[in-house]
Amino acid sequence: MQEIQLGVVESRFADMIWENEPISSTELVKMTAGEFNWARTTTHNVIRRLCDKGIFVNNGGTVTSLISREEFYSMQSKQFVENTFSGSLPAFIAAFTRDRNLTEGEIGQIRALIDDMEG
Amino acid sequence: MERILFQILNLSIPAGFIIMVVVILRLFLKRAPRFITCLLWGIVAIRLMCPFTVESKISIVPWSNPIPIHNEYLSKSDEALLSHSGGIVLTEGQASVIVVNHDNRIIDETDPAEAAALVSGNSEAATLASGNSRLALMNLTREINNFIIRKAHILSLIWIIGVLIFMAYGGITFVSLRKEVSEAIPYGDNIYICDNIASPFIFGILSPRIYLPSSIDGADISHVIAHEMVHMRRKDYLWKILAFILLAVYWFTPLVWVAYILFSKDIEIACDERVISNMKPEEKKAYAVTLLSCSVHKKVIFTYLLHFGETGVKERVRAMKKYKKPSIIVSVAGLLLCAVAAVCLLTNPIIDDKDGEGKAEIVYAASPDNVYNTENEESEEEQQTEPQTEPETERQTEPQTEPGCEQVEDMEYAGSIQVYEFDGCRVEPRWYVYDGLVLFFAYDVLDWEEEAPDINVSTTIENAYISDYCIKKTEDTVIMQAFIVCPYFNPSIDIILSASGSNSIDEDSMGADSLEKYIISVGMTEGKTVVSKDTDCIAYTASMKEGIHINHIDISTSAISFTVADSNQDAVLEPVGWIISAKMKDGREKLISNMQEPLALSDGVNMHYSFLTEELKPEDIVEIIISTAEGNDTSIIIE
Repeated sequence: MQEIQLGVVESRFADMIWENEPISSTELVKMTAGEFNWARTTTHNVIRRLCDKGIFVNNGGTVTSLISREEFYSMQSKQFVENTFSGSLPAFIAAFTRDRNLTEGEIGQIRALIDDMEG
Repeated sequence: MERILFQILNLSIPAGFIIMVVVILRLFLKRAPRFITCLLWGIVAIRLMCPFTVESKISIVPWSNPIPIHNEYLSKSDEALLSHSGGIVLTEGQASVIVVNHDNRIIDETDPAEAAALVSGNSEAATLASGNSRLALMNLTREINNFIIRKAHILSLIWIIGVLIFMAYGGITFVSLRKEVSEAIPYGDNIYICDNIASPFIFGILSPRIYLPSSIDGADISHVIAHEMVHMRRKDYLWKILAFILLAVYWFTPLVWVAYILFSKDIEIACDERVISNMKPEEKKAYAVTLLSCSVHKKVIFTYLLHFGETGVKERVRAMKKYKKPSIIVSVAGLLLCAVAAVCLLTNPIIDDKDGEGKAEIVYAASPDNVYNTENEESEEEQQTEPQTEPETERQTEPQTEPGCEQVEDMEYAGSIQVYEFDGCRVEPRWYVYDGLVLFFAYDVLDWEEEAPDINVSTTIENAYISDYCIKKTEDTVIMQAFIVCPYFNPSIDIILSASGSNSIDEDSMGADSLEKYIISVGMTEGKTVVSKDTDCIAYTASMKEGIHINHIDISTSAISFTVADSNQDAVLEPVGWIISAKMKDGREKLISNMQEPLALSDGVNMHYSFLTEELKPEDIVEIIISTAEGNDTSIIIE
């Protein structure tokens, strides 16, 4: 799967779709007009661009997702770890925990996660 | 179009001087708050925009209207004449600016270095350069002026294309940015976040908004907003657009580029100063870091927008380091300096009028605003001439429909119709530029309270002289017509009227020794005539054939003119087909003119003719021979 990148504004818009899908594009136009102060054409432009990126699909005016929000963000974090820590999860955790100590609860959760994977 | 270009050129030279002054002042004002420098740039902008200025005694601007280019455009026939007359530029048009060049100090507009040389020690240079160097400068200036006039079409085309490119660039940037920011989402009060922009900026004219790139670091955001809010409050986004428009118009002037670049820096530094003026040292440091982080990963975009990290980050950080909150004294001193600079730089110097009391001096040139066609004038004159001339009146006006004279008519432009108060009476001057070589000058004097005084006409142009004039007095009007023969095209000609009451020609304006006269009075009898040089122009007459006389013959370096009159005052002979030749000192005989296209002018009784000639040396001429088609030869011997 190719890399998909969204800007801050695009991801705000994508969130709006994920929360309300399936949603008609006219409905989206209304929502963005209220929340973002966007013009109709702007909304359509962004919908088209997100569809081109392969996250959503516009079927005769109804926008639905091809990738779920969780899928997308897990993909994003995988890419992030890949790009920033050469795919090394321990390096990522080490960087993440350098400046703050994990709470007991967090340590427990991580343990459980690892046990789960081993099993 | 050419007219606009000349106007722009004329505005750009004093403005260039002011820019240099501001650049120098800017060096001294490094310590003062930077908004003062911005105010100084405002002075430059006003000067660039405003064609009209107030005169003041303390003005330090050396030239009010340095390029007195009278010409508007050259028609094709003019260009033909141009090549014919060997470098003499012929004008068809009118003065585009009012020319006040009493000492003929004309500055080359394309050479800032030269201009700069004259700025430094203005008065000194004027006196020192009185000799050959000044002449050389004038010659150079003249050549450049002539070049500009000759190439006016192409130059103005190039200029307008440049302006259009700038405008197109501005327009394209505007449209593409508007597309980008259409996808922005609100962040705070009038602040928006946008994905596709690289740096924060303010966009919009009527409802400007602050746009922040979505990639901006959370820590930076407050600094950036503080900075942009100051821009917003000061309406800097509008000033920047104005500066860009001025740059677009004056794109050919390097000093305006300098001004634009420095102004862009100053506006940012002034803004930074305002932001950090209430900050603690560590906050200042954080602000400087923000500045750096915003500038690192970005190419410099040339635009009319205010970019947060756009210009001179290094200088801005350094300025911030040096910045101390200015004391009130420094600020007030700076503002005072600014006010003084405004008065000195926004005004033009008053022209010295040494003996201005009893003497009304009218120095004018036609301005394009009140150019009107002479056709009405013409018919007026016809009416006036009718009672004096008898059946042959038609013959008189006819020449203007003939090919040669038609051109003359085409070339006639009437000048100012402004009415001047002059020695207790009103004078309505007009002037007609025939081809830059011969000026016909006329004015009406209206509303005489007492008897009309005699009026002298002089010009400030070097080597120009009044070849001939006549005064006609009617009940309520005095009409004067004069030929002013200029030996070369000089775009700066002042025509000076002085009443005989306050006496004679103004020596100062004339430059007594620079005005070389070759007025030859001709006393002709049948056959040969002996005349002497430099005597007054007295109307001697000589018969060409029965009843036809030739009056004053004037020879300049590039023209010969004379008056043909009929002793019965009922007909005027057209010298078509006449051949004028001159015998030179070395014995050669030189054809002066075969009278193909004389410039003709009638005062109702006489017919004045003027002919362009190849370059002549009047002092080398010993004899002038005029022969008509009928074989009536007249020879004039000059002693």
